[in-house]
Amino acid sequence: MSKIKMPKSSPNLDMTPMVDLAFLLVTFFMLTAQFRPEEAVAVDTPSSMSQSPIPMTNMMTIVVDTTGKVFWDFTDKGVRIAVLEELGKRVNYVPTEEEKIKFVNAGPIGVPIQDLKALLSLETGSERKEFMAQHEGIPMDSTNNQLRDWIMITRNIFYNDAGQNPVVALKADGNTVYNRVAEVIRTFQSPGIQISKFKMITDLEASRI
Amino acid sequence: MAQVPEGGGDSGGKGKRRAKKANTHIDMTPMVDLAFLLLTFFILTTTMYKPSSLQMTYPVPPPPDAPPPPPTQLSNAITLLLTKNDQIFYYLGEFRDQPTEKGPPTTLERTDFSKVQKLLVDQNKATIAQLNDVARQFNEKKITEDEYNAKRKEIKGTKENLKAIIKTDKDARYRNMIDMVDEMDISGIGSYGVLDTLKAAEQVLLDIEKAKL
Repeated sequence: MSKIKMPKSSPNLDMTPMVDLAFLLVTFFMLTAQFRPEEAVAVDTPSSMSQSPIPMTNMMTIVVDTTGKVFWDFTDKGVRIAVLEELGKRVNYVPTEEEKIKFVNAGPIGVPIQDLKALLSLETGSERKEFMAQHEGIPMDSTNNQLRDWIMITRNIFYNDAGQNPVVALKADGNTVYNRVAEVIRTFQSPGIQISKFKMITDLEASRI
Repeated sequence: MAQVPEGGGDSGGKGKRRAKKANTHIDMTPMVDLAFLLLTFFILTTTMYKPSSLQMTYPVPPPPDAPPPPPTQLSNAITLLLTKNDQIFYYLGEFRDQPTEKGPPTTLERTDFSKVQKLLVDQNKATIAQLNDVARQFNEKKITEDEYNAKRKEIKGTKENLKAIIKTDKDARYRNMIDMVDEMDISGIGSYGVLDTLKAAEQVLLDIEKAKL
């Protein structure tokens, strides 16, 4: 009985199309991926059913973290620098070019105006984070409501530039005591600002993803 | 696995010198390994991060010299008091300290976020039926989107509908308030307000209930 001879063909597959595709996908993901910037403030926003998106430009965000500290953030570079210069005038502080760049890239800022200089003299992001952790955020007491100054200056600068008001968003941690958030909203409504329309930033409810 | 060409063209003797037929096969396995490793890494680390937002409109505070606004009709209102541990207490209609011709003094009922939706939907059945009716007409393409939105707004704005007053005490969390605003949307309540102060009498009742938690 003769054995059936197995054909001795080499099992070589042409892998070229697969490799092409693999590299195409790799390139796509590498080019489109944006690493999420390290959050200077950890905020776990509550989830809601609302699906309306938030704008990526021209938006002022007031951030409230779990402990109730208040931070200010703005999306656009030019406005950020102008706000820093304007706030600096109040405490006789003229920021250097280097400090302006740091301010632009710093994300949410939460220190009293008089401590801005000390904050921006620090070199690294983690040092600034540490510095802000030791401070009480932007003061919002009735006698010294600096949050009001921040908002008013931002709005004035933006309005002079663009002829309209910026979008205002409130980003608060789900576990913040509501009364603290209500204080921010009262500041929004205080005379001279009177923001009655704003966005509350939420995560999409898990069931909707 | 790299394939090395064996024995060149030089087979000895005086034979014609043949050009070397170099094997052009390159082993691609390590490269493919690496490509897929990177691909897997990027796919796994990419999260679709999409924050959304709730558009809130707060009433503009009246100027200090304005006359006080007329009292709101509260007979069709539900007042929801949000407090610690995600608990909700509620009462229907106006708050009564004393028994009046309309009923006995107010007592608080307890509920939570898993049950409050059913409660609100039960209280607001007529409106939800109307909203569903309009939604059906829209799905069957009998009305346009603009008409649909206008009708929804009209139905939600009817004065006789259930109103809601959301009040938070000092132990309520921001999350609770957002969840409650979500529930308003789900149960078709068009007019609601959020307050962060309670009436003194409400606070007294709430404190008694909180002590039982």
